[in-house]
Amino acid sequence: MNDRKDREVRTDRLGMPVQAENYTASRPPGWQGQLGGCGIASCISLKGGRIDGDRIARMLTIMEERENGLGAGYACYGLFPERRDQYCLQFFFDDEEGKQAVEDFLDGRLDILHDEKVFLRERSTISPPYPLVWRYFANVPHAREWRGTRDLGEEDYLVELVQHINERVPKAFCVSSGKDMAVFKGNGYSYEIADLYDLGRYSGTMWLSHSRFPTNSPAWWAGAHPLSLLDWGVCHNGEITSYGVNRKLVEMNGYKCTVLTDTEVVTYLWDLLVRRNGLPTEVAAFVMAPSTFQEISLLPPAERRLAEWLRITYKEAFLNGPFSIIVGRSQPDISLIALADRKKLRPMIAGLSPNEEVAYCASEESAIRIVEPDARTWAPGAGNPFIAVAGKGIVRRGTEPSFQGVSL
Amino acid sequence: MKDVCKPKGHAHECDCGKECLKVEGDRAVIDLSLSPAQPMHYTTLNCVMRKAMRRGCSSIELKGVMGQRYLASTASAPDLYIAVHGTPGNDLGAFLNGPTIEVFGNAQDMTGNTMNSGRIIVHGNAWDVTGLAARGGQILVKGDTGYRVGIHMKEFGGSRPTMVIGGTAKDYLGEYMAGGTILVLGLGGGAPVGRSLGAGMHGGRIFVRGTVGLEQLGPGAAIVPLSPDDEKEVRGLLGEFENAFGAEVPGEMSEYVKVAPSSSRPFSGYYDKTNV
Repeated sequence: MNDRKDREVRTDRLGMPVQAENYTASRPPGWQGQLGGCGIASCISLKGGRIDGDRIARMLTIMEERENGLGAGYACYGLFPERRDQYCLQFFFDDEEGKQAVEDFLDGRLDILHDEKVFLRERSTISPPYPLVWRYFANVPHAREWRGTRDLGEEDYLVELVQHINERVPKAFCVSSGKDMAVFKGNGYSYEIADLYDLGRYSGTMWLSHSRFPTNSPAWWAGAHPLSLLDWGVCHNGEITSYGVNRKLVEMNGYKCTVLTDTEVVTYLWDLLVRRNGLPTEVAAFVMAPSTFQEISLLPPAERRLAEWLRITYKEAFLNGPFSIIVGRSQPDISLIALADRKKLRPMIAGLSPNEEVAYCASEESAIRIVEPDARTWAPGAGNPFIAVAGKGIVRRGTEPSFQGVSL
Repeated sequence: MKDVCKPKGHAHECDCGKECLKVEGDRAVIDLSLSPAQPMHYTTLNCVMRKAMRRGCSSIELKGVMGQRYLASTASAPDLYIAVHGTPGNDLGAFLNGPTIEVFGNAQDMTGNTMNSGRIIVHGNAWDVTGLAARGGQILVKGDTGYRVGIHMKEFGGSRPTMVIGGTAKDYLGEYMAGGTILVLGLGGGAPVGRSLGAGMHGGRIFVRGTVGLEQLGPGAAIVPLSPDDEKEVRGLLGEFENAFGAEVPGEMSEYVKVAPSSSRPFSGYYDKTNV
């Protein structure tokens, strides 16, 4: 084998260096032949109580076999009760320069009320470098202008700022930007990330989590799940085969794809469909994982019209390919949405604690059983959303007919 | 830092120094709560189980199982009985060849993957893709199952897999089925089977207690009347289900629907160049 160090830099036709390593008869180092798939887990206190960070870490880490150490993350909702109405922007910075650039950019654009370093242990088994993680609590000013558009809505304005930072500001990445929530993620195993951020120090009403087994996108800190915009957080197991057409739809609506992974379009689609277009959650879930036209033809007339209209109007929002996703938001209420593709090609199990106070959703039943041995579990159907809302309980178990409860 | 409790290389021995395996006569008990790593890694547990099998145990009891995968995979002692307390992980009893596994709880996905012979009895639910590509043996599930159960089951010679589901099954039950028998009882209510039932099946048979709409059938599957031999087979399977779970099952044969392949070549013409 030739020495890998003493060779010419390989470039493509534009003269850019090509980084791809090449291996012939010797195996690439660090790879083991193994089957995997991402692991997702979540829990929500239905009465608005608080759940410890250790609990979600135990749920996620038991599915160790589903990850390969190339990304894991947690999102906590209901995390800042005393700053519930302020936006919490949490950033990764490569160094102080990135932090300065973001602070310069935000100066005058947001009213920053408080900022603090997010705790990170100094030692971890994850290979360095680690980013500087910082959070800012901010209010959106009354005068909101972005690129000549005046009086943008608060949330639209924040979306523009966050996307500008992620696209244009070097050495900085905004990983979460919602009210009363934050994302803790990085490029390591689930237990390494839980340990690195010391999740036990946090508690919240709802937790989402994800351990990654990247198959078609690079592993990097900001690319780990949950992927978040405003208060939306999305954890995803699977592939979005229709990424190209979904990406066109969200880009036409002003979103910028900056994370190098298919899951981010799911985040933007939820924001587009539910926050901007005002679809009820069940209807947005139908748009993403719709029934076949054959199944639609068997629905009662009013529902059939709605289903056909949705499929035609939102055909670019149809997520094709195998997936199961867990979605969270904090506005107007803290809610958990779990959805599998319409053929259920990725696993999803829901559970409820015996005292009916905590609801769970995870890839594997063991993730629920390890924290709630006597939980009642069931499997939400293909393309059938599970919805739980803090303060309201389980709104939908994921076993009901498509549009039950939706006023037509 | 995470505790490590993994076997050394391929020595099939774990190195934690604590003995979680207790053998009395030919009965072995493996208590996972004694492991320093919680939960115990599945490679460790499978090594400990193989150790018990090498000692000639005829019964292995697992306590506190929590998502460990591939339990008893490729186990091949015909008289071995394995009791699983807790929640076994994916691929329980994969390539099983002889033993009986009894699960006192729910099983996860892909239970009995490509099993050859033996029995798997689940006293709870067994989720997606249960019994895929089974080529012999029996799977009994007291509760519900998920999607794509029994896909590509096949039979050859004396090997004929059978599966009885006490509750319900979802879409794609028996997809590409090439042999064997699936019986769905639908106890506990709800539609017994989902859509795309038996899609592309070209062998075997699916019996469903309750109604099956034509729109639920996948391509290649058809509803046919039960023959006296079929009724005998269904009664036999009901007897095994009742013995395993002590549950009474209605045995009125008019309640059963048989789904069988409409032809032995459901996709004839799809890929056959001479037929284009």
